[in-house]
Amino acid sequence: MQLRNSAHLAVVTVLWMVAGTNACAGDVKQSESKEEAPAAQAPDSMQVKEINKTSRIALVVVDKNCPDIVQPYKMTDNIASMLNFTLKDTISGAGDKLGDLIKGKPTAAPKGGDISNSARLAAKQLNWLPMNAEVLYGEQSHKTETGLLPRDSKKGKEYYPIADKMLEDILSQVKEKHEYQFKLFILTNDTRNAVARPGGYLYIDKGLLDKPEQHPKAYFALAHEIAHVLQRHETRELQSMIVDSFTAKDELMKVMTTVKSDPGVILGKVKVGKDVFARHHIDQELQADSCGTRLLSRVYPDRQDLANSLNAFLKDLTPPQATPRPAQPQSDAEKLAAAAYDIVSSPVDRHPNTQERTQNLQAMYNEVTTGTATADSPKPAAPASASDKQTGNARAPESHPGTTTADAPKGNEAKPEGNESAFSKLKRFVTKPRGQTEQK
Amino acid sequence: MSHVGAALLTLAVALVAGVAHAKDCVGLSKILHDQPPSVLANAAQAFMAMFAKDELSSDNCASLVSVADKIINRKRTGGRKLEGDKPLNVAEAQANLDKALHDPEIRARVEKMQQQLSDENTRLILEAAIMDEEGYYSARDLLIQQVLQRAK
Repeated sequence: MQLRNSAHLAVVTVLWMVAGTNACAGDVKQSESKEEAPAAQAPDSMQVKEINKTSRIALVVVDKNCPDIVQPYKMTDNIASMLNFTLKDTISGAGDKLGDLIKGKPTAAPKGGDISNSARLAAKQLNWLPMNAEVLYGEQSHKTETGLLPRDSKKGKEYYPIADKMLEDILSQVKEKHEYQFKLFILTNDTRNAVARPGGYLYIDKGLLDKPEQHPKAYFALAHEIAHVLQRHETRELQSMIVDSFTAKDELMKVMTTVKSDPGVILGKVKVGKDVFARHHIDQELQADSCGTRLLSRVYPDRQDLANSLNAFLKDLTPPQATPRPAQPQSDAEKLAAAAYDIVSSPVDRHPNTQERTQNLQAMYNEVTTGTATADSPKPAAPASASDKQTGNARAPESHPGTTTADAPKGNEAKPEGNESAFSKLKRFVTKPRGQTEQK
Repeated sequence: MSHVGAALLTLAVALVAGVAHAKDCVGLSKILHDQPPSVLANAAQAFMAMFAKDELSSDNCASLVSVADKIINRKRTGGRKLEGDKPLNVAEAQANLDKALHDPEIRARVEKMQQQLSDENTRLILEAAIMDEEGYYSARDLLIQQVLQRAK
């Protein structure tokens, strides 16, 4: 037990040191800010993050309802979250050991120097990568970007003011404290996509700016990408990779010794890992949709405008298509071949399918406009295809009463008729492509 | 491969040296250093000739670099996209190209460039660069797609 606590202490110490760097970097920026830094001065504003123990691989459990638009990252937040988790985990661990003793089972002593799984989990979930490291990471990634519209070009002068105004409209509604300095770039594409990179790098296609009718989707796109940054999605994956690189030794040895006699072992491991990561990417996308919707509900006090923005995004998604289900592999050789094919052919950064995104946005729309998510959520439209049935994963959204009405702008408070009207429009889109009658 | 590679390398070095003496088109120089496909090398050569005669500007250079990037498929790394990439909508892109060519100024530029060039791929690449510069991006992508299809 003492060893286990020592391991926790070691991780806390590392986090403290790293987060300290973060806080220092932040202090410099904050000193330039006109606002006070409430988190650093008022203990009651400290954000304690609940560390979730259900995640086993290098993942962070994602709350798709987006209870926090900005993830806590300050030193004080991290330490408080870590201590809170360590305390609970210690009590829980003691209970297990006590149970073992009562049952007469021998209790294995933890290996010296190993980081316990729970401490590792906490290290993955907390935001400890310093802001300056995140910005550096984003900068390096930004350098690979091609097709940027220069601000001083003829078209740049035309479109940047539009994009800048959108960004300003959304960021002005992020009331939570954060240290990001967002940088917006227009991509020379007529498509209607957007991209975010760590450190606050945002990119939007020119195709979302040149026609006013695309602007509602442009707002959604920017809000979604801002949410990726504020949730630190990419950064947290990097953290997980760092943490896992310290712990994979035993697993690696095991795989290396068995792979010669059974190549399926390695493919199986890669496939499982890849599948979990793909699911994690999907969940992060859904969370970014949700956070984006929360942000937009502040930008658009009129819920009809909010519905228009969500609809513009949904309308542009690829319609659900039926894909034939591949035959299930029977023999070991077929399974091996199927795993290899899947690893090579399916991208790891998959997006949610249209059905998933629609259901998620319906639930979020309900939540931000009425504060009631689960009970009043519409029954999702029936999947249009067999593939949708397989991958639909309809989610029953959890209600977060504390995060909905409290921080909603005045314009979003109860307006049942307007809400019904706007929501009906959302629902119409969902049902129309599937050739069904509108549900009511 | 070795003959083609050597020829391209020689061409690239010659072009880069030419650029150094003429005006600065840095992005294109970098691409040429990486031994681009022959279609691109030819287009770059034609471009450089016009560039040296002050018939093209640095804006033209940036657009050709953008087109070249797409032809050699230099992928960006990292980042979270709003949605997955979609294939080019050819009908929309053709409409975009038609719209661009309805602009007398753009049409005149394209026609002038075509008169100076005999190689079809080179013409397509430089036309794509004009479309990029003028903000007709799906037209540009359509022309690039045609170049890639011809190169297969």
